[in-house]
Amino acid sequence: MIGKKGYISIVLLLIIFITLGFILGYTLFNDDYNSITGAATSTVGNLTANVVTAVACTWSNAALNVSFGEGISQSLSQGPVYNASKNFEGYIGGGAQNVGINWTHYNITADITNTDSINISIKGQHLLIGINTLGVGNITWMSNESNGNGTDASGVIRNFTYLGSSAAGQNFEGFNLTLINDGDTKLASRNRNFSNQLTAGSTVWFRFWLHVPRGQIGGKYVGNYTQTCTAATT
Amino acid sequence: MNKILLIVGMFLISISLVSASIGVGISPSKVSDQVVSKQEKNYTFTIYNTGDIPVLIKMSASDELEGKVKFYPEELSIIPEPEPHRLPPVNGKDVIVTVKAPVSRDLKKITGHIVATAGAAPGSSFGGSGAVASRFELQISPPKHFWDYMTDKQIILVNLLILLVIIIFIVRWLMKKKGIHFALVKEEE
Repeated sequence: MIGKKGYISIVLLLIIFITLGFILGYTLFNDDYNSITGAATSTVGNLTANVVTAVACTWSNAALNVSFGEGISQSLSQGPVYNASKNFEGYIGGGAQNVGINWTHYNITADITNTDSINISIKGQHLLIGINTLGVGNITWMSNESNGNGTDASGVIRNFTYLGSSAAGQNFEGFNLTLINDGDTKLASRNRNFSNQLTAGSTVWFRFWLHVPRGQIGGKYVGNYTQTCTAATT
Repeated sequence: MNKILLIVGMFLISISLVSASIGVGISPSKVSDQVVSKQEKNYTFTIYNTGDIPVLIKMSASDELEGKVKFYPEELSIIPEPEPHRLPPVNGKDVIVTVKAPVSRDLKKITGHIVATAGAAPGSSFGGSGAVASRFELQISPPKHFWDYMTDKQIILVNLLILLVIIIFIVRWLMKKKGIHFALVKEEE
């Protein structure tokens, strides 16, 4: 049987243990306890860094205002394939075609202030008029990181042109806005890679072509596309 | 004389419209953060215009961020940056992006993009929009309390149920005090 004094002793012991615990905890885990003492001078330096990251892209006016139907694409035998109106704005024909004069007016520039290289993706939606659809898969694009035409591995300047028109290795073929293995024709939106690792201050050029299938209902079809610049992952 | 000035002015305007470029930028270009389930957190993005005409920018979220993000404001008009461009942008505007983390039992990572889109040109058969996207990675840790697993709707429902039980108890107490009680009595013919 514990008496009154016993209870008082237990409570006192508990208070002593708790107090000791606080003191030990404070001395062992407080950083100041282990800090250097006795030095004549002590200097503490702070390093701060405000890192700003940013990506920006600038599109030529023509790039966001594409119209088709102002002329059949040059040197094509695929049937009714139309150039976008600014594909060959500077084209003078003949031998000049392969010396970079037939420049496109469609381009995107990665801003000089960009802190990352950028990837560009392109997403298009079907062209519509009323209930009639002209599938976005009928639009072909080709992009190139030189001023108008491309240069192959051996340094030969080649034209970048419509899908399927790579005659005798003279051209770089375009890409269709529909994924090659994508069988779902009901999808209204397609997303494809457009350009990779574009460094700050550099420009990518591109061209569009529209293939009109036989039997298509006539009219002014309207669609849209979005090009998105994103910081490259590596 | 006035007519000549007008014609020259119109010509200069038409030249500037033809040569106009559209640009949009976003800062930061990537965000990586850790939050607890259901935590709501604000992030500030600066949107700026690298073109040479004012643009209307629309904000949106893509991929796994869709539906989890709110923008203040959702649309903004921005004037071009002075040349040469520099960081931080001079005429850039801030957009507050509020992200609400979904509930997750395990450590989970969601990724997506915060997208700023400059509008399509009207009147073209294949009008384009230019967009820049900031990569966004959010690591979500499990909730600290069991009630954090509950959605707002579930919390409201539980509160309503508790309120109903309290009302029943109060009514029963009042009935007992007044000597009133319910009874199932067969109706006599």
